[in-house]
Amino acid sequence: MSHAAAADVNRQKLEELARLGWYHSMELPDGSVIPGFQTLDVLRKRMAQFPVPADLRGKRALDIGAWDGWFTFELEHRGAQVVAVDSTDFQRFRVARELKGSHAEYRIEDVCRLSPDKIGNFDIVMFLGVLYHLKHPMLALEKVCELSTDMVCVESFVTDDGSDPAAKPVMEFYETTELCGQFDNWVGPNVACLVAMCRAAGFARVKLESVLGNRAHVTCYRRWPEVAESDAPAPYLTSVENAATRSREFSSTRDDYLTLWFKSPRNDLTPADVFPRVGPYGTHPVFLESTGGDGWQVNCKLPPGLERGWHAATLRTTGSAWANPVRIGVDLSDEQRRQPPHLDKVSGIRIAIVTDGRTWERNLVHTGVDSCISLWVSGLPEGAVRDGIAVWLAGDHLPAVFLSEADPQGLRQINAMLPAGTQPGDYSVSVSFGETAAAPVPVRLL
Amino acid sequence: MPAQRAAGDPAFRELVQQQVALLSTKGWYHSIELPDGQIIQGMIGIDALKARLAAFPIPEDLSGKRALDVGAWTGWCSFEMERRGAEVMAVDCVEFEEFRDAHRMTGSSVDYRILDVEELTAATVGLFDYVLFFGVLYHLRNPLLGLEKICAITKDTAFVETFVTDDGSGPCSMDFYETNELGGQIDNWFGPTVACAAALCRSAGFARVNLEYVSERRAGFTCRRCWEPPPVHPADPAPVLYSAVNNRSNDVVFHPGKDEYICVYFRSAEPDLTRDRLRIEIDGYGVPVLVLASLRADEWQANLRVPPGLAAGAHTVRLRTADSAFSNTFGIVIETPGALPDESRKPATEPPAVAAPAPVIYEVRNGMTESDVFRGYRNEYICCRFRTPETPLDRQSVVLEIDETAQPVLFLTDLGGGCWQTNSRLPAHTPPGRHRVRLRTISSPFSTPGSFRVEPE
Repeated sequence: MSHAAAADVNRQKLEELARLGWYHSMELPDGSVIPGFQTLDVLRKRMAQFPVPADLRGKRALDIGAWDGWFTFELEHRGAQVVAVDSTDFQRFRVARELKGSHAEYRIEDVCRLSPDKIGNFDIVMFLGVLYHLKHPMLALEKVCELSTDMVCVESFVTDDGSDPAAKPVMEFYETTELCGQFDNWVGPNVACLVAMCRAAGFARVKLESVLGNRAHVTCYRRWPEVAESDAPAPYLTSVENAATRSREFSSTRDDYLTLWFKSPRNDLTPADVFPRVGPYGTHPVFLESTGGDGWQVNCKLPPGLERGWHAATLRTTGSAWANPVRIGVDLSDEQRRQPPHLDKVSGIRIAIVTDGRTWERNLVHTGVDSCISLWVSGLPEGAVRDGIAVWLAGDHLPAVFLSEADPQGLRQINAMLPAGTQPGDYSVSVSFGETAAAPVPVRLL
Repeated sequence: MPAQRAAGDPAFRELVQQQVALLSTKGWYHSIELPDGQIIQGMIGIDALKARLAAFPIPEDLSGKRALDVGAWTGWCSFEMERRGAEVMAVDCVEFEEFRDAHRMTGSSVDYRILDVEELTAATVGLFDYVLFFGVLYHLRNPLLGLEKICAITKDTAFVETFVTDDGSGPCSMDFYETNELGGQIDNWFGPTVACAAALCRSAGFARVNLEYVSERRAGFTCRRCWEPPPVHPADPAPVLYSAVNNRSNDVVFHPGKDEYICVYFRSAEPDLTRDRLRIEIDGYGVPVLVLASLRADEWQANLRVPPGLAAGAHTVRLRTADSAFSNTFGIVIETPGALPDESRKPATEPPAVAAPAPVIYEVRNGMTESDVFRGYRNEYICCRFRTPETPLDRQSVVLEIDETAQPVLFLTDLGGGCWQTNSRLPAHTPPGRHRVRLRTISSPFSTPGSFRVEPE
């Protein structure tokens, strides 16, 4: 096709677009802008309410309720691999995607029918202007939490400005067209209710960013921030149980809660000081009680989105390192049930040194291709062989690739490979052999 | 005046905690009468249990009926419905030893199942004439989903009893309890006002919802799936139903689990028709109308939710007004999970032999403008009117082609006198110019073509 002909086709398309009527304004690669109901300034301001990183390279992002796709293309522009979802097929999205040369995947589906099986997991999820259109807002928030591995941006219509600290969480229900004459509006939470529902959906942390007009912006995080320095001693986890059944097994489809019993030298803990975690996901305390002496009990929701199998439950208190991990089972198969790991029996195994094979700096491991974590360990039984040894990095099982003979101090070296894509940050590392494990020690990945 | 807010009310918390303490000493929640006349005294006395059930219009004779008791606890209501002759299933989210004991001691044959409300489906438990849903709603994170599950397995009436936050004078809203705000218990999620509880019941798909009582922060609702019987001598003429389509796709196909709405288009001679005078049915179950709009003259559009629990396959829509007889019927299809989306629209087989005469197209029209010109808008439909002596005729047995390419027939209307109308969508990217339309039935050859023009503005 000649340039002139291509330009002609493009012009025809633009005319068609203008006739279709746009909700989002759209910048095109040639610098022109399709004017929409929402100006670029408005769209940029909506985006700016959330701490979405400017660089999203290597991240997967999900845009729920994409409409014409401005947020989808913005996430893609920042480097993310993006999936856009809407309940109705918008031709304008498809046209804009073509004009912008976007590779975003477009799916037509209802929020409550999305699952990681169908579309995978996402580092970042945009959930803007959708919640109040849903009949089952808690179910939708749980679905969104399940799909996310790190951060969810929630924007919703709200019924107040959130300025009254004494406001109780309450949600209006719209049976027909009470809200704006539209019958596709179902609920109107106040700000307190929106924030509380986000927390109850299973996120570790929920932060109200702003309320602009009748829209509230809430950022939901699945993980606790890692602490840089861990001077305070780690709590000791004595047991973890299903709060209803008192077993160590959990169901991802029921509303299951964990009870963690732990010992902490602190006698002044509040729920804000306790950070429970299952696998990589934080879950906030819904109940905390002293059980006498240095004993404590904390209850929290099983975080959504855990795969079938065994996961490490642990916790830390403000400023402390992570406690020893205790394994819990989620949706276990019979095969998995027969082979439970027993990481909670801390024995004579002790980690003396953790480092990497290149720098020999204590408690520091450089990530990268073929990165390796090295531990010097005492207390392994005489007959310990490499195949029976597992290294645990924040709940992830790393098989040992090398086990040395004992040195004159009785220490044996264990090497394990870091999984590809392990993110830098502060972790705890442990070693297990059979049914016994070492108390975890902190390690920083650079 | 709305009652004082229950969440955070120390007196209410004290009351609940006293009950919890009492329960832990008694063990039994419901009192239970034993066959020998003895009574196991529970937290709630026999008189109070009888009074609670008597607040609802539950028939004294339930013989031949299936009844479900959701949140059965110790089981008094289950055993009472069994005594009245029903075949009873009792469901709870945790197993109560007291229920098992009472079941044994009373020689009951109630079927006891441990299930969450969200696990209740026609496939797992079957359908029930009567359902008791006492003291459960406010324990659910998704109260409307719970009520939808109940509605989907109710054939006749569900009786809903719940905690409420007001005396009926408050707005339509629900309190949210993140942790133990309500009574110090962590298993409470939503506290609806009376208006909200009633709206939730209607939104779940019940045709008629009646408030029986409000007292002491509890309310009872009778929720019926069917409209009242039609008038014996209808005063108004029956409406004419001419289509019922998915509001997102303008198609007759609906998808289980999606939040889809039905647009029902009909003619009614009633000049001042209102939402509450309409009685729309799907497979005999009443469906409440969300919005009613007057289109022009005697033409109306009603929007309604797809009722929960419709099985995959074909379903029948019809309607009447409060004082009219029923209209004609119109078919909709619930998609079979896993089936190819278009499969249900194709004739099952090609015609083995040509038997019927070819249909005759007498008009091809743009459904929006009634001209033969199309502009390329999303909501323009090709209406093809034709004559055929074949009857009966259904949508699946008509094959329509535009420029020799088959197009789905989204609906088919009997115009009377051997005249019919198909509606199809204008295929995407149909270029400007004149286009041919022809059709046949599964047992006829093709008609001679009609035509329409595409002229973008």
